[in-house]
Amino acid sequence: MSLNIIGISALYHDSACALLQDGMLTAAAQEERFTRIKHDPAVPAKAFLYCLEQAGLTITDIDCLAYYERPEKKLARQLWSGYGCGPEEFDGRLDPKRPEQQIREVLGFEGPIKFFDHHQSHAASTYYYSGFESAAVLTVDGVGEWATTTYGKGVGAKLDLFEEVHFPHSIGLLYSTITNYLGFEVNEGEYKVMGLAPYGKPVFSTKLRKLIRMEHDGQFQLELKYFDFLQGDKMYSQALVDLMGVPARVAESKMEQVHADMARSLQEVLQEILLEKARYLHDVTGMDNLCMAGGVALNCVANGNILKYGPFKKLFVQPASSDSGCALGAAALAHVDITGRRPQNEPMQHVYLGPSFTQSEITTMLEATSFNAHHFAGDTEGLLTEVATLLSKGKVIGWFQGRMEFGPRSLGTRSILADPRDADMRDRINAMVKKREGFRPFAPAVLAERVRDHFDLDHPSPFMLETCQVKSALDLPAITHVDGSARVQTVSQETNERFAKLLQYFNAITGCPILLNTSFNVRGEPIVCTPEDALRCFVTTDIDCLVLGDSIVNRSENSLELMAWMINFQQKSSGIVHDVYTFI
Amino acid sequence: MSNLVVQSKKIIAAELANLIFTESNDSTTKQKLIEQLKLNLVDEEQQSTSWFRDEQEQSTTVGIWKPEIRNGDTYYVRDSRRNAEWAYWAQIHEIPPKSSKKRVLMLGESVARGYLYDPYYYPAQVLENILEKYGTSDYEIVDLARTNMDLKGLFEFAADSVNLDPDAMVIFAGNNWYNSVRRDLSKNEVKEMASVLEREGTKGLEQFLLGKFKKLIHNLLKRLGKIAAERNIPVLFIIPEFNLVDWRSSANEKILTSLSNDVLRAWHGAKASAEEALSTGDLKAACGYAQQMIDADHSHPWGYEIMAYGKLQTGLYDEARTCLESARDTSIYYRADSKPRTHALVREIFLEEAHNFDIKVIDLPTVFTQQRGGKLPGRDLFLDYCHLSEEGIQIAMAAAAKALLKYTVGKEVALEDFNAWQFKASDEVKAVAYACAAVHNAHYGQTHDVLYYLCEMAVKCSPVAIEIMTSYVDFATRRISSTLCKSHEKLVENEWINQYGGGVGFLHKREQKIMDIALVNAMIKALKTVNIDLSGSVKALRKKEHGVNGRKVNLLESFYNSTSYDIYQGRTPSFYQSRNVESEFFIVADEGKSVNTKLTYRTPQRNAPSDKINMFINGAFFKELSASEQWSTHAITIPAELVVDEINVVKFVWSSTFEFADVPKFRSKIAKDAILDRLYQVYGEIIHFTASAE
Repeated sequence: MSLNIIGISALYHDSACALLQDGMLTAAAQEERFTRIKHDPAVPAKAFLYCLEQAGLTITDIDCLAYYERPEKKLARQLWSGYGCGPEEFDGRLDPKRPEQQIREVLGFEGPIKFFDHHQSHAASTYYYSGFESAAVLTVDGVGEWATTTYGKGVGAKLDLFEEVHFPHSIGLLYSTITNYLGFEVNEGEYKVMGLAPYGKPVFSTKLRKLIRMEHDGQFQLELKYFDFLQGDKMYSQALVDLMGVPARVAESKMEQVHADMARSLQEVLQEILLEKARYLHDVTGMDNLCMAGGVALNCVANGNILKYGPFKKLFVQPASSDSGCALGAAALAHVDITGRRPQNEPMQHVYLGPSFTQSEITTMLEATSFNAHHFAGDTEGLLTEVATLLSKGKVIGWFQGRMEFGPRSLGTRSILADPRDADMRDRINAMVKKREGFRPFAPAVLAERVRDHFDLDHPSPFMLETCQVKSALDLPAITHVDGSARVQTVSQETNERFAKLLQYFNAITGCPILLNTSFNVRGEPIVCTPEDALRCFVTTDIDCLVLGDSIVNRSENSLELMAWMINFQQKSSGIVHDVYTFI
Repeated sequence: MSNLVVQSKKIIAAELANLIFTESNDSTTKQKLIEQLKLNLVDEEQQSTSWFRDEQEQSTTVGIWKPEIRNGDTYYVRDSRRNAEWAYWAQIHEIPPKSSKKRVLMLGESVARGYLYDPYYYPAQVLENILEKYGTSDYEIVDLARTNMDLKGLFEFAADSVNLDPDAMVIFAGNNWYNSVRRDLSKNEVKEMASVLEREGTKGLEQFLLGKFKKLIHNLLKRLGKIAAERNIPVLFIIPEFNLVDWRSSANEKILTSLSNDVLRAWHGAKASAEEALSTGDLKAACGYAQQMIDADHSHPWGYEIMAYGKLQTGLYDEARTCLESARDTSIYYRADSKPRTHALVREIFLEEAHNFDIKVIDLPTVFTQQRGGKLPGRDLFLDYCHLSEEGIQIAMAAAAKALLKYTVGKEVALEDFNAWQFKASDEVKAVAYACAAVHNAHYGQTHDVLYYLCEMAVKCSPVAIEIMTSYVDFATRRISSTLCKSHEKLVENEWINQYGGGVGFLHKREQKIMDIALVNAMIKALKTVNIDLSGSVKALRKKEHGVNGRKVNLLESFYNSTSYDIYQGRTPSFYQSRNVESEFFIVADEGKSVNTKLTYRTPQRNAPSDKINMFINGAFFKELSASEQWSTHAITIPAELVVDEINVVKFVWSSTFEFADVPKFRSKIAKDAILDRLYQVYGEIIHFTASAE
């Protein structure tokens, strides 16, 4: 009799489901991919059904659901904050019974539901999937129930969090506040700030250090006079504006050097804080391995800094380390609760945990359209040769293969690919394909066995979560950041054979085993999930060629204007657009 | 805040959270803790702002047109910043300064736009032609009708439109107005509705909603009266009519009201008897049973519709009108996202009170009835629920011309003297209108009879309809979104497809595409009349796209269990719910091949353990399943001898005993969708239903 557990994160942002079968992670997906509502916070109904379908289960086969937060504790923090607590709210968004009620009503689940602390879920989402027999654990995000930062250690099946920093003192909120100051959306623009940082100088670091006061052990405190998020109107106060001496940037306005300087300064201060706290954690635990999770753990530059200058020998960051990944953690905690054993002894090898589609489905779909397509079913070599050739000729490729990735990164199954040697490629993809800010960098995917030849990296980085210096003899302007760094994904045959082969074929033609790899979406939309999503994205952007399974569609061989007009006519929507962090 | 205070507040917050979480009744302690936390519990109702724009805030623009001064004259030019809205309005780039002609503004909604004929043929054009042909060429009609204009929009726009310095106004509206009641419900009003529903049932709810509706209509009347008085111009209001004879409630509009078991059984018994009586032609008996249905549930349209059928067949048109208007007006109970329609209250208020505000009324129901010798309007005057046919537009505009002449120059003209019939749409425009109307009717649950009529009329009008239908049957049958289909592109490229929103009407919402079986079959049948036979190719395509042979098909996808787009507006979970006692699913299969299904279902709110679910295949009883409050999974093979070629219909009848437990009382969490869930209970739920064949 197998044990089937589904973990759920929901009702704040990035809701998701993950299925553990006898302790093995077999399916996971974010709700936004199905509903096409970016950061969809709803109870993940479609992700739930997907997990069942993927495993060939029905709802009666699920032994337990695991929820990633404790609503009662969260309510206490919300009450303490006094945030938006009208009488209606207690019957609505603040209702602590709402998660269970929604799970029962929306998902129809009748069995037991286990609730776990938010940061416990974060911690479990990294430790239990790290493959480490023991590790220190650091979780850092905006806020969960009360905790914003936790320190813990895992040994075997046991995972203890021994210290917490409580709201409103939060590194995540510090970062989000400056993100907001720089004119980006909270919970959306943090990546952009990280990408902007290398363009600046750390001239604001001294001022930003005034925002946080380091205290004993793992503790710290925000200087609350600079923040306004407790009032809920905006993230920062007038005192911060006075301190910085520079007005806050208006969203979508021109990006000035001063904004880059502020981003760089924030990055520097963040790195200092995390390094100090990582050292403290090492002092307390004496462990060699570190596991990190929480939204702040997506800051790969800071992670790299911890590994490079800190005391830990190994670092594991679960690739979906923000709230969606808590679904994995909650499921793992439930598994430990029920069996007493830790799940998944092996380290997480890949994140190809989402839906896939057969070539037959793709072919039938293409036959319904007016697209002229080239079909290579049964001829993988021909397909890869053609795609590699197109890439070598400077074409931008929409690459749709196999199971969708879980987490925020496209890692070679729902990717936009291009030649990293092309000096104009970054600007072109930012402007014409991704339709986003020009400063934002792109990452390289490199054959795992060739990574040392081109990057200052001595170990695999399969999840694109580490930065390192580019040391290639090749000129790689499209993936090299202004400071000479790159956020690398190493690709191996074992986890993504087709993508690895494509890199080999591209290398055979060009001598370059590296491709620019960015997520297959446009600004404001989730990464594509289905072949139809990919087709829509292809039609409405300037991607040159779309590779759907064994089929290739070339833009130059098709007239897409009318279809693009029709698709654009259909409404786009976003689940949450924050000007301020909402604590519910 | 000192650490001590912070800690203390945290303890208080935790204690309060615990009381809320455990649903404690200790309100004294809760209140004390709230005070200690200094929570500012602002009632959201106090924060709400006024629904209507302030009267003083008259805009300088007129809809999408903004003023532009040239040589001292004011032109109104389309505002490019509002180009997303242009498609809703007349395709007029600029409105010139007023000339020596009398300027008449035509305001209204899609019915005044001439939806389905627009932009080639529309009421304002017909009205201007009628007036010009009659020899009174000193009128210019400015077409200001906007698709989707609701009561709130009209309230504001009517005031703005006087910027154009009119000599008269014709307002043709009322079909979208009830939407303004629904959209404007405050949280307190929703709570009040819930309370009324518990206390007084659906009758109380009806009174509550109509009371609110009445206030909104009065507000509009006052504003129109003010315009008439201040400008000293005639303001004419055309009371809209509904396609009483031919528009029927869809399956979704006929979901059952939550009733006591006895009443529910009585209603079902009467329905079965009424249908039996109709089948034997016993109209009197049918009307008697229909009355029993109405007595059991006045909020349900079915009884009225059966009764009306009997009255129509016996020539009792006035009584039939009463029944059909009652059926129409059950849409206020919001079983489904019903298509726009007027309500008896609109006509009642305008007929009784408009004169108090010096508003002149053209009562289209009376005009049409007179034109039809006392009979009720149907497909001859309408293309769908409220949008008029060519003849409907001609008659309505002749009535408007008659009133305009009377109130602007005091001239009395008989309606027939206008010869409005001569102002026709082209055959191609009519063909497109009929074909698109067929699509529109199908997507809101109309029957094969009406669909075939519209398709046949389209084909008779022009070969353009053949092109449309040939494309349509292709993309409708495919799984991929219609927008991406080659046949859809071909259709949109057709030079005649500027009607129906430029083809936008063919689009469907994400994951709500249906197989359109009734419509596609009607199109195939109509095309056969011009010797085009697509039946073979459509069958092959259906099997390729939807067939269960060699693959597992998820029957919970909209293709296989939905027949219209007017879906339930309450809470929709991840699984299928039936708020009727019967559910139907379609399986596309090969004749003579058994079909393997896997079904996980449950039947909430059951009292009788002996209750059974009956499963039918293509109308024949197949299997009995046990009612189950918990999910229950079954592998069921449909034997080859029951499987027909192409479309197979699987029907579940969710109860054999009609012994349901009481629907739970409202909890404290009241929302609009919670009220709907309370009104319409669930009889069966399915979370997994797949079919495959070897």
